[in-house]
Amino acid sequence: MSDLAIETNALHKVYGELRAVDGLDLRVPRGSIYGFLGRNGAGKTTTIRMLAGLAHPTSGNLRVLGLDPRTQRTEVLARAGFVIDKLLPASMTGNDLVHFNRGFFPRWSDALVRQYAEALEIPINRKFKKLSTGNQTKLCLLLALAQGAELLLVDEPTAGLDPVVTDQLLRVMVDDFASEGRTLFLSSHHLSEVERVADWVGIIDKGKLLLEARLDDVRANFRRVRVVGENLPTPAATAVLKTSRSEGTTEYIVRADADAFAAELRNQGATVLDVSSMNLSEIFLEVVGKGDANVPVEVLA
Amino acid sequence: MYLWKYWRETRIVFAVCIAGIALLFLILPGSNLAIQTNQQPSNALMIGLMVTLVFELFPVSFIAWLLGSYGVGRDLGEKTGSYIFTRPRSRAFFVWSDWAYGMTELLAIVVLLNTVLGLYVRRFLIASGDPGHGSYIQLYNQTVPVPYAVFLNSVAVFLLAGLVFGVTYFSTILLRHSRGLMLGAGALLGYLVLKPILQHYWPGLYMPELVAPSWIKTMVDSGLKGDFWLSLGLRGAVVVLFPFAAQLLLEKTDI
Repeated sequence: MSDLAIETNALHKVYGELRAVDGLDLRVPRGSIYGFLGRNGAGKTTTIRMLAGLAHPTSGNLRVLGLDPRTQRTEVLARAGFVIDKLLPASMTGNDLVHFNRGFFPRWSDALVRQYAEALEIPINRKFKKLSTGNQTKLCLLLALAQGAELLLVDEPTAGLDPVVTDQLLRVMVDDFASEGRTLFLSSHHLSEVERVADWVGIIDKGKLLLEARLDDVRANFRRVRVVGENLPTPAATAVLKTSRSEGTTEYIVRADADAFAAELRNQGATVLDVSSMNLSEIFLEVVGKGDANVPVEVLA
Repeated sequence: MYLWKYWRETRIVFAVCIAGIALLFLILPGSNLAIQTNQQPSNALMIGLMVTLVFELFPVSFIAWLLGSYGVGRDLGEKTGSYIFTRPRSRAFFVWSDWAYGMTELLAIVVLLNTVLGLYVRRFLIASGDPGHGSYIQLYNQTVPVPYAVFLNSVAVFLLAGLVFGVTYFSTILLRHSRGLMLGAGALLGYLVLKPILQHYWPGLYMPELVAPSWIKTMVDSGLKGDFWLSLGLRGAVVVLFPFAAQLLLEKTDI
């Protein structure tokens, strides 16, 4: 059995002229909480749709729990829960939807339904269309959790939700689901939430994976190095992600070995003002803001 | 569980149909009609056919048209496709479940309706002084037992309803919207309009009859023998063609 819950190789999805997913190589370890980050239109949802077998890849390979969604779609869906559009049949109540789902999943748990309905304060007797956005999202999540999945993929779980509901959802997903060694794959552009819960991150932009690493490694290695000096050499180190100059100060974004890099600059006569850490939001902006260039994934992975 | 969802969505249409048939049973006192109109048994056939046409063909086609718009095509239109199709079943399962359940509902409606109409014809014949006590009916140029005529009519109407249902079901998936109703209706009406036009210019062109009474007449005229079963099989195959097409389309489609 592979130690990867999700694996894609050179995955492509092309719609006419648009390359929605462009050679994606994703590695999601089993048992991880994986934050799949990207701007709107970066290719996150298309990727999830392909993993669910809803969309057909143009080319490339993909595996979910060791299974190919193209040929083993029902097996994948029996073991993995997907929350994608967060839209359910409008005239059904929560109880109707529980009744509807029960027969599809052998590991379905009514006890979990009761537990999460209470914990998340979902009015389960009300029709879906009568629920608030937050309760609609919570109900979608409840149904995915109650199916007893080994892997849960949630697309933009907290979009449009208030902080209280966001907190409730993240607690349930992390404390209840992922704490039992199951894999949680969260697609989001809300970086602070992902930073709070994820242990792995993947950053996608224009269909390409720009970075995939343990979040701790990202935090430990990405540094902003500010330097004052004349005629500073253009760094040859591949670890330098970005260089910018303004008013006599040069700023380097370094993705690894920042201290060694700073020492090298000192040796060349520069004055290093500071070497500061970066949060996920800053890292994301730097990585995505770099345009088409890829950060070699293996540096951190 | 999926069938339960389809039932839940269509139950109002189905219940209204059953209630309508029950009402028809109550308000069609054949004896009174016979006395009031003073019809002779020889004229009973014409009235029976008119009743069939008015009370059966158009309403049943309309019901089939409505039922065809339910199921996964409507789910796609309501943007719940990603939810439905992440239940662990093949796309074929959803299509054939929808189709089988819809056809079962249609079958129940057609059989009940024809039974009621058969009883009506029988009552009418008896009240008109039919010496055969309403056991036989003159169907075109042949005398056949009333139950047989009812069976033949049921089959014909059911096949037409199945065709309307299938075309609408396929159209709803094609358009990913309940607007498929309009496309389905357009396709069927277009056939009815085009058929005489094409046959006017190409008299040798064979185009099957969609309207059930014409088909029944053809079957009766041909002697109700081998051709009947061949024609029945061919019509059945055409009816089944549309869910197959819907399945193929859905399997190729990105949700």
